[in-house]
Amino acid sequence: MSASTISVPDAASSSVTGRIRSPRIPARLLLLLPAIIYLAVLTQAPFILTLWYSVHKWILDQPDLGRPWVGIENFKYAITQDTVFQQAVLTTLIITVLIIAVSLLLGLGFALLLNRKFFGRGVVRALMIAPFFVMPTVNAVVWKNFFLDPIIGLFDWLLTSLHLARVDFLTSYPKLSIVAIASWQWTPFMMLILLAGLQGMSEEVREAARIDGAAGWAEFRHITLPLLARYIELCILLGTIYVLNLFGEIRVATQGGPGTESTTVPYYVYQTIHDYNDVGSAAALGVLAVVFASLIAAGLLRLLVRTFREGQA
Amino acid sequence: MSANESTKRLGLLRSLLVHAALAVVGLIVAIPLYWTLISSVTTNAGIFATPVQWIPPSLHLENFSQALSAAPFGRYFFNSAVVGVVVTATTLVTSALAGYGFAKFQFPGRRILFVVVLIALMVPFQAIMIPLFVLARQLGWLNSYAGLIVPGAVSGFGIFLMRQFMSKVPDALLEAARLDGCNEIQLFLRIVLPLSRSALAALAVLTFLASWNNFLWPLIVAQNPDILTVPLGIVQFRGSYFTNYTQILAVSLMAAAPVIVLYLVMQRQIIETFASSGIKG
Repeated sequence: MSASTISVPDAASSSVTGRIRSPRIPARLLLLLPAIIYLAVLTQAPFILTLWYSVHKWILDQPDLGRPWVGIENFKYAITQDTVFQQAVLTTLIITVLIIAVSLLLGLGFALLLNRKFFGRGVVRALMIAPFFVMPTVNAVVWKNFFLDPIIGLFDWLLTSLHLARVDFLTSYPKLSIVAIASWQWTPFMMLILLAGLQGMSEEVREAARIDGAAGWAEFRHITLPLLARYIELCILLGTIYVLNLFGEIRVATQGGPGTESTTVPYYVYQTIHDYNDVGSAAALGVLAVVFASLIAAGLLRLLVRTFREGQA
Repeated sequence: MSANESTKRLGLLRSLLVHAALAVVGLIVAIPLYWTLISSVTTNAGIFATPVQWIPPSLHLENFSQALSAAPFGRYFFNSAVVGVVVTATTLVTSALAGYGFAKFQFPGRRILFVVVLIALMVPFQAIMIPLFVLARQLGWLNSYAGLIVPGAVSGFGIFLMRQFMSKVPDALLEAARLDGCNEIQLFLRIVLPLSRSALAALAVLTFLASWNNFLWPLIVAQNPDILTVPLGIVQFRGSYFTNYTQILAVSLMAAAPVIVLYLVMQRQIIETFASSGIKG
């Protein structure tokens, strides 16, 4: 093997590649197999189990009922009769879209501002990123008890100082409160990605655009925005994956309430398994959550592609 | 002359406006942070004083030590650290190996295996947590480190990220090293890993952050006070010691510290990774 490599030092490297690559296939698989098998065992196998559970009736604290097969009964109930679930789907959709929209717009604004050179930029940037490192649960505790509280909260102080009426935000506007809490945390994440995109953009392109007469809004719309498109896509995709799973904020701030007004799909799945011990229904809800998440992701992507095509045309 | 002057004046006005906008926006972000900071060193009465005390009249640093002894927070921090470090280490090793395999080698079944990774990346946790919970219960892993660590030890996102990054290592470089007599292990350790440093750093920070902040899974598998992690501890502390507001804030600040330190150390690599991942898609 080594002799042959030495004897053809200047031969086309592709032939050398071919010789080295083909015989070692099994050894190379060892690089990935441990991780892939682990992933399959811990994500795909449980998902298949989830499918299996979802067609059974299985309540953990009623073992005498057994685990009878019920077919699509759990799904049928969730879709046609379970108003809490139907509401949860809508709530999840509203909350997710609003959080992504608010944090993306704010993040874009901050990124554009921070992309300019000014005195103290490093400090301001560090400050802006800080909320991302606060634990989501802690963030929710602080907002719930100190900012949004109707009697002692900071917002209440602001309202009463301005002689405005008191508002119990978490009771009157539970969804918007959750959106505010999560957006405060997600804006820095969006900003970080977009800022990386802006800083990778060459000054020459902008300079050329400016000479061609593009300035201000036109420069932003026709130069900056299309160049940022990939980064915005990344923001939305990563953001959606995480925000669809939003849990801690809801559990701490509203516990899905008042009533079920801020109950989202993940929170309802948690309640079904944790409070009602109903494995079958929770599994069916989990499967529906996957379908729901895929639909949203696909819809978002299509929307994005269309938006950017129009922007560039 | 006058036209020149007016453009200058316009430029000045614009930069003034931009700076004003920056200042307002900075304040919106900074006020909650500043308020949290000062409230953690004031008294319970001071927190709710009207008008708001923007400068605390006296410093109560003892809030921090008192909070630590008011609940077993030392234990919670230790638990979170063990889980976070182990999960981050296993994720880095497996993601680097599998990412390299996907990026640089051809073998039968490559596509199918990559689909397995993508599915793992996309399936939301709620869809798999029920069997995981049932399984953990049957294995007796409730209230154990194994129960907390095992479901997060390998990451589809990590493998995906490393594959994207390692695809950019030039093949010619690897071939040259092979011709120089580098064996496959040396190649990986001496060439591929050092070139992927920034992606590994970003993955380390994101993985540790996710594990440190994780709330849903620990909430399901951990009830025993000995095994609680920091977020669970804080939420429980809020429930049982409702009046100790300053202590809640003190603990919350301490909980953010490790992640902030980690980020500051690896800031450059993270931004580099974001920048390149956007370009390559």
